[in-house]
Amino acid sequence: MRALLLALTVSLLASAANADDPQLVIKDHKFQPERLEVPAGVKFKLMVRNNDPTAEEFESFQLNREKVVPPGKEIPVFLGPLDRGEYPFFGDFHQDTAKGVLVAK
Amino acid sequence: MPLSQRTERWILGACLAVWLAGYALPARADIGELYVYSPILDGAGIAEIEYRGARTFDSDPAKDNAQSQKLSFGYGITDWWFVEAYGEFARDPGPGNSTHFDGTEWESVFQLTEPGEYWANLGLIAEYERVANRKTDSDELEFGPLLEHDFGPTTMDLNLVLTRQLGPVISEPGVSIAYRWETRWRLFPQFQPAIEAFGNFGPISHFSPGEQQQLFGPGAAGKFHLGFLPGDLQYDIGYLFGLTPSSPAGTVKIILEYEFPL
Repeated sequence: MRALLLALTVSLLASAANADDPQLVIKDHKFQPERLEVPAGVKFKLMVRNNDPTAEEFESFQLNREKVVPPGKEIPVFLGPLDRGEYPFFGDFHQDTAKGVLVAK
Repeated sequence: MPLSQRTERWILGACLAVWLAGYALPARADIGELYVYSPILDGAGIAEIEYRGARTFDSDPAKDNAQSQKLSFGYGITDWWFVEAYGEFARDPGPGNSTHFDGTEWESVFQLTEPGEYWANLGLIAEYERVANRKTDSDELEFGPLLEHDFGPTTMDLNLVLTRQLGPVISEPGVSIAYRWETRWRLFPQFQPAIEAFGNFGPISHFSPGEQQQLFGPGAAGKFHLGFLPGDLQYDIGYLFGLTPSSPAGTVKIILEYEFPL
């Protein structure tokens, strides 16, 4: 039982945001920044915060991720290890304006 | 994700597993279930309208022209819990049969891990099927884990499904076990070729290889952004070859899904 609780605690802590985590903010249906450098070759957690009053969906075919970001909320997106290169992403609900790219270095 | 939500979904999944462990169910080939579930959900507030169709082909009339048509509506209650309700029409194989209303299904999918957080993404599915004619058919309770892992540009999904028949007419007593497997190459968003396999081992207490149905074949999936409407239109098609004498020689499946924020 203690082992189960320990595993659960570790799992929960792993989801908490750290100051070093790369972060994207959605505002006025745009990602800020639109070009974000992230580490290559390691796993990392991208935090995506939605400051708009409507929901957005963070989506990237290259990263194989697709997840709704509710208004006023922040979500973790676990990524990597990525090869060096550029990985486009977009907001599925506002594809005309919500675009960006992760640059893995 | 807030800690309380994460804790809550694990507790809910564990409770469900313990509750269902007290049941047992049988397996039968169901061409209405030729769909491999991902444990990854899109999130709260996402709705979907789905059509699933399948038909068998075989030179033996006893296995030819079985059909299943399902229509469903689903909704993401939270970012880790998706519910879906189905209505199913079916045609039994053989000449002279007609399509009839077969029953309703109530399904929940639970996402237990964040995509990419661990080596494999993990989820659970639980489903109750209420048949229209309980004098000849049985209700069914299904439960099982959903696993997913990315291998480079491919994604592999594996579903294990335990089933128990319920109701006055029990044709397969006990718990049966089935699997659904897909490896999909993420070539383009609009076109992703895949290999799929579906098998039903039958009741755990007495496996009978000669009566098992095993299907295997190519498929493709993809999605399109509609532009003039919010959301995406998705498809999942395939042709499955029967690998055992009990399996139909061929089964075609077509799944169409409109997913949108609600």
